[in-house]
Amino acid sequence: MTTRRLRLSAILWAAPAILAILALLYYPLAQNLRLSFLQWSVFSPEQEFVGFENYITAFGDAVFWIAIRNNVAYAAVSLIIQVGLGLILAALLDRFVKGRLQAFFRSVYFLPATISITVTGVLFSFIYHPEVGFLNEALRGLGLEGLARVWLGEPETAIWAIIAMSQWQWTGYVAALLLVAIQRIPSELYEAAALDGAGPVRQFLNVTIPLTREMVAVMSIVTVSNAFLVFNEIVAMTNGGPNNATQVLGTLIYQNAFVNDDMGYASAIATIVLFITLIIGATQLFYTSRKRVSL
Amino acid sequence: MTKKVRSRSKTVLVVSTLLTLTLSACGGSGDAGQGDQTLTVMHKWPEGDHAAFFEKVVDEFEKTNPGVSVEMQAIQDDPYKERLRVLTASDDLPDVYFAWPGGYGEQYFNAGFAADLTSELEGEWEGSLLPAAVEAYTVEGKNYAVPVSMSGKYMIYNSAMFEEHGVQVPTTYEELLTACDTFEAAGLTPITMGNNAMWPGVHYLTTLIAKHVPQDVMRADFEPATATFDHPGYIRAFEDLNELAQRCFTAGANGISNDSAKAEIQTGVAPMYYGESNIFSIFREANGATPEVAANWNFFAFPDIEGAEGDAESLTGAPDGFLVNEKSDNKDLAIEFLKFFTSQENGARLLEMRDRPSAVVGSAEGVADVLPQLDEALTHLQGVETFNIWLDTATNPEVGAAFLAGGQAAIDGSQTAEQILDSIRAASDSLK
Repeated sequence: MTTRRLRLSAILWAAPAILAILALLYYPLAQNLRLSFLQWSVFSPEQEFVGFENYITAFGDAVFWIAIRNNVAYAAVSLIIQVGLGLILAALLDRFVKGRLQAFFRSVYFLPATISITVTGVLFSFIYHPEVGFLNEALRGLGLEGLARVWLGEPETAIWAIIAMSQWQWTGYVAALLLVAIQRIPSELYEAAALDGAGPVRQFLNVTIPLTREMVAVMSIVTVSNAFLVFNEIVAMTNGGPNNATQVLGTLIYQNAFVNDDMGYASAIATIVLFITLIIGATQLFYTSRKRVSL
Repeated sequence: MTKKVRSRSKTVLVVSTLLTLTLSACGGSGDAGQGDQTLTVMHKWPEGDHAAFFEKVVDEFEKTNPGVSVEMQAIQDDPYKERLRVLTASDDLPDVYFAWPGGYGEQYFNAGFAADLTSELEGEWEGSLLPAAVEAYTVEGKNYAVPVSMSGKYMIYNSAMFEEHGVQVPTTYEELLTACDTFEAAGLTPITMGNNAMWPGVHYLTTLIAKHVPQDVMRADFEPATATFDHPGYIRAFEDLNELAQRCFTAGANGISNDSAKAEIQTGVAPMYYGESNIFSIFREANGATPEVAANWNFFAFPDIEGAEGDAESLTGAPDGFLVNEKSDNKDLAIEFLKFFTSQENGARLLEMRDRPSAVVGSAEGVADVLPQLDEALTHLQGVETFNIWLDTATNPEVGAAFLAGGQAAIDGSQTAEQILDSIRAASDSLK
């Protein structure tokens, strides 16, 4: 009786949260899936069922593939720089910098993450400015005029320039979080490894990496999903240009929903994004839960 | 037993409170002001002088119409489009709202979201407004908006720099290119251009296409059902833009913002800039122009292109106008408001407070501090018979997007004119 009463009241207590999640998360998701099979716009309220046509259009759309390529590039670079380099940075900080100096560096690393993207965008627009920009000035100063470019204005360089900006902004953030994970590793393990003759590199590979695996996994999921959801950076820097070279899935959804007024197509792309991120999340969780290392 | 009841009723209370909160948050828009009338207005000028002007007009309108209150919302350009779309989808449009002329505004009229104002405008009211401005907001002879202000696109130039380098105001396209070469040889950027936001490139394309393609052909092509885009003038327009980019524009224009380009004409770094008459106020010293520039600038209409088949007299530019919500309960009041807005007095006020030409005929009379150049532009605008509306709002949004991307491709030369035209054709064909 008591347990049953408890269970009933537990459900009732959880009900508002469940209702809210259903209404605010799962209902829109289901709705989005439904809309992706329809063709409609705000000016023609009748919704026409078109089956998989929106998906077929997407797969035949050159800009869609540019967007996918850009998102994949974003994810790959972010994974290598933010998580990879971030982990190395954190390990270096943990090992060679102590006390107040470490706290100082941690704050310095973390700082870019607290700056709003609008400000970062303006800052990097100055850095990348073709005539008076810091980057081209620096290249000229080093006698490398040949490498100076219109970083945001050339289709070949624009997306990489934006990706680079994101790395500047987020690597320190990831490193700061990984540092916390590293500091939770008991020092005896390093001492034991040292006694066994392992040098700093060996210790990093055999102690630090396995024991921060979970945090690394979480950060990888976050970084990769963020790379597939990127939007603000693009809007602030190029708005998808030049000639669609920096379109990503996020800007493509926005463009189709709010500019081209093609809601069905936008929903179809949104559904594709959902599937991509779900698959990434699921594989990473599956992989890391199998190889959990416990202390 | 009592305890059980109490705990359960507590739970029910929590659930119901939350539900009420959620529900009340959803059904926000209550009806305001029984008895008194409330007029809702939405536009895209939230900045300083513009906002002050709108507030003044609203104040005066409320004063002359007791019992009426105006609720005004101002949202900046890009978010404005988004907001309008959301309000349209939820059938919640304000009584009076701004929309761009051309395909953009027409879609609101065709879908029944904008009232037919033809009979209202007919006669005296229409006579008080500039014909080209009224014409821009018509579809098949029906007026769907009331124009309030106007803007024309002119080549703004630094007359001191022209004199210094011995350059005359170009009267043909060839002379413009030669002028560019002269400045280029002197180590200057001839025309300052920032096409990061893509619309500056489209403004050039609007002009070039109107010069090369006859008006009726152009209009048929902007309608997806009749579009062919096979007039050779389109190819020439894209080629011309590429040539301008190479010989005149700032290098790497696609990577530079319009604001940054505009600053170069304002501070005397570059001799030319293609800008709208509604930015003439930046040449006041108070608004950041250097004294030398403030005293030495002028403008000319984009020069004629030899052998081009389009309408050489037409001008790239457009009026700004307001639509009346067809589904509004306050239609009469909305029309009253727009009549008030376009009175001689408010036309003059618009010029005075916003440095922007009004669509009201003769509005410059009695305004003391009009920039002489603006006054000249106003005279020129009054003589314009056809406006070439910006391509990204004149056409369907998808075709507009193809033009925006195509402008960047023509400027950096990453695609040939044929390739760009193919992508525009493809966008248009997908709407058939």
